[in-house]
Amino acid sequence: MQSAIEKLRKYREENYRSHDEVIELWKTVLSKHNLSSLGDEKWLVLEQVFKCALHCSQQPIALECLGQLTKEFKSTSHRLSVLKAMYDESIGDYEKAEQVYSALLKDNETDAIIHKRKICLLKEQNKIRDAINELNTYLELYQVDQEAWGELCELYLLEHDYAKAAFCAEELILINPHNHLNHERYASICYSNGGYEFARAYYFSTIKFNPNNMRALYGILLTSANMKSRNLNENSNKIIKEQILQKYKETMPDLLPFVEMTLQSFISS
Amino acid sequence: MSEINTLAFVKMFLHLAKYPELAVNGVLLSTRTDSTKDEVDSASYLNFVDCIPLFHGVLSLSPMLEIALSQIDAYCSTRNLTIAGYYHANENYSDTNPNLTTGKIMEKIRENNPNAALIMIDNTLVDLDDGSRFYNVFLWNDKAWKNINDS
Repeated sequence: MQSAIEKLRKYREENYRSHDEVIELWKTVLSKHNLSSLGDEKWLVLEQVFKCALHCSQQPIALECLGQLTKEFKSTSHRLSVLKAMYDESIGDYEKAEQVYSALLKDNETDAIIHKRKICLLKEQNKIRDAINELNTYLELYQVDQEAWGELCELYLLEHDYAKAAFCAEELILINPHNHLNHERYASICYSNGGYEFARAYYFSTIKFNPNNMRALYGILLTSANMKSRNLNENSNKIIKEQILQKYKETMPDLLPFVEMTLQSFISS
Repeated sequence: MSEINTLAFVKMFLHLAKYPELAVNGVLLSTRTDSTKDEVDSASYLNFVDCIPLFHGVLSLSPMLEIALSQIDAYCSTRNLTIAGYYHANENYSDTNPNLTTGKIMEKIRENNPNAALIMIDNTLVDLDDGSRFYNVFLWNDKAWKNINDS
């Protein structure tokens, strides 16, 4: 039991996403013991198991944890109201959850987590346009929230709105300029929108930060195939092509013939 | 009439199982027929023999899609196969409708195989204990994608 508690503590503190494991630990160990010996940690554990149960669609376990929490904290607790609303979301009772979140927001307009839960609520109901509007409102207040910009980028991509998605990707690069993934994402969005020169530039900056980024290596050859000034790029293309083939040789030699055929068609097209 | 063999079915299923919280997509391959007609009556026979998963998460970016389809074409040409189907599972649990992304990708796939089918995964039917069909098959008919079971 002690080792289970320590594991859960580690997962809480280091933000692990091992929901299945937490549920397993609950089923095999924790639900069979009286957790009062943990003191205040008991409530943290119950909240953690509750959230993991929602992730794994184990509603009965979630209800059990919620029941124990409600006994202790009564229904006036803000944190408990959020958990209750999350449970309502998971069973599809969106209106009830929406009412709770709106009421909580009236009390405290700056609660970022509630804002985000409202946006998730809209996304769950496939109201993508509404979710985009809410998320834009949120980002006017919280302009450095990476997670939110990333989500907005994905929502725009769902609608194939490449221009606005590019804007979000730009914000992400501004917030974290050394992350090669941000550059690669921006380059791919530019490419999808027809901006081949821009895309090529950002694919190059991606490999500056991470020379092993395969998508960027491929992207350089792809953009070159679509640009009119491709003759100027021949030398760099050759080097990139060699790098790609080298990586495949090292990791997946079986696929070499198909990769070579593909690269050949792009370079000569 | 259509058939899907164990390999293709299981690979598709495993791909869905690996990323339960994300949208996924991929292609289904079938053996190349010798038909020289442009639009063979595709409702007559679809036979999927293999499956190649493509992406998970964001499915609407084109560079990697172009590379992937090129490589799959190269693979198919060496084994007398062809891209005959494309499967797509939406991120939203209850959304089983084709959308912009599926439209664009199917347009590209149909350039090489006009009889390609669109397979929209129905998340509610994906079940480990039930080996029956967990998707809806759509065919291109009269400038739109129509579910073959809606008649």
